[in-house]
Amino acid sequence: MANRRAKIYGLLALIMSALWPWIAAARPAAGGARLYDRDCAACHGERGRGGIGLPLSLPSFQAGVDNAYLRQTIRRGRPGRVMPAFPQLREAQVNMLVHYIGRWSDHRPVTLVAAGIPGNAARGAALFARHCAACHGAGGAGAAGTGVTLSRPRSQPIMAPALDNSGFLASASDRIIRTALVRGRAGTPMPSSRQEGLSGQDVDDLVAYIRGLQDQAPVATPAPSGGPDIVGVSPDGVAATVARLKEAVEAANMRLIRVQYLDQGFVPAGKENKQQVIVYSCDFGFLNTALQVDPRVGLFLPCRVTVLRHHGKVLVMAVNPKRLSALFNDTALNRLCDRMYHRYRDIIEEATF
Amino acid sequence: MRRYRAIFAALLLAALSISAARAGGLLLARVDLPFPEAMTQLQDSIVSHGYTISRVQRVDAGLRANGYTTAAYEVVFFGKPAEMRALPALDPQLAAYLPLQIVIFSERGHSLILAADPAKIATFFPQPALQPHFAAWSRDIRAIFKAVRHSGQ
Repeated sequence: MANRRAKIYGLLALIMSALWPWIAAARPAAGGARLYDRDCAACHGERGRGGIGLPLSLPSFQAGVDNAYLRQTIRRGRPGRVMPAFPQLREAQVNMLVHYIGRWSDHRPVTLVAAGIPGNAARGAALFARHCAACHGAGGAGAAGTGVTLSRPRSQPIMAPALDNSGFLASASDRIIRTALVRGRAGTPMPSSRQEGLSGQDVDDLVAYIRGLQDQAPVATPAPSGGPDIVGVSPDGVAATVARLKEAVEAANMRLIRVQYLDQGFVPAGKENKQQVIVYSCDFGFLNTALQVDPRVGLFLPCRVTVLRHHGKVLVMAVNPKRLSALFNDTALNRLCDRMYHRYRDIIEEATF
Repeated sequence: MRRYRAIFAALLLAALSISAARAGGLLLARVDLPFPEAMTQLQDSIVSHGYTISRVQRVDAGLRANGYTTAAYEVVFFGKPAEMRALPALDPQLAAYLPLQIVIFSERGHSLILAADPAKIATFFPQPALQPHFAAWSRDIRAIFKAVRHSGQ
């Protein structure tokens, strides 16, 4: 009898573990809400109210995109921008998300045919420079920053997207681009073509130009490599190395914030390991710029260099910003991380020379 | 029989945890609380998960003191004393990533909390002895985020 029950439990376990993903996927509304909450809400806001990311509940947005656009955007993300790709989601999960996002609007699902729109791209380029580049950037590179800059007062509900982004161009059909141009985006600074005094032919030429950007779309900076740390070996003891490090920090125009032991705050005062020291510093101008580029940059803050004795050697180390930047999917941040890498390297070389 | 029940439960838990897994190297959550309340919840949650907070870095204060405008923006440093003592000896380069940190900043009436997923940082440090620590940190930070988010609902 017991043996029989054991077999039943075993069989149930196997069936449950095999079927669980499909059981979870079989609840579209609840599943979509849960997925949105997990993967989207942090940037796009509760119920699509917006944040770092676009306010997905904006009626003019919902009326201008179709489910295929949303699916492709989820799958591909925006390479080199904050919006990540979600290739790991199953088809059913993507559909649940799209279904959930669509429920915020009274608009019926839009179907926009994918057929190309013929137009004069060269003429479109001139129109783009005159009517679009002020917000969308020269060549459609998009506004600087990462959507709404969280650590600053908002001046507009969204940032103009990068139209040359390969993820956008692969997701948006010509019809979607044309619809955005003709209708504009009520509730955002994006005007309609009529407000801009553009004819139907003008719009088609603009679509042709924007579509052509995919041939020039910048390739997202590849994920940087290298070790986890920038490391130097000091010829001096810990105390002397810390003294030299402080001088090197100030020579690099960084403000010295504080010097503390690695385990300070974790052990009773006076019991810290004096052979493990952190030197904190900051360049506030650089920090301000970095926060405008990507408000998530706080994970690098404050700048710190650790001095530590290990197996008789005094090591001087900082995190490798080029390695960490791979977590962010932000080409603009990669460039700042590259600058920060060189700065750390110079400081460590100066302190260990 | 108990053994089979345990296996059944373990498989079920594994299936659930797989469905709740999140890809990417960053953990980011929106909290429906103003900054001061969210910060209090965050610190309470960190402590209730067995960690010690060693310091809170007021990034916003530093920026304002230097003439820049900013919303509330702080970094909470935390860890476990035993790990802070032991782990740098296993791999000294890990020291540059310690203590652990969670960034918290305000956005309108909400707050956002952010951390690098230790499970991703683990790929920088392949030493087997470190992996259980990274796994536990990843699990705990997710749980901390979940608790803080729920406190705002």
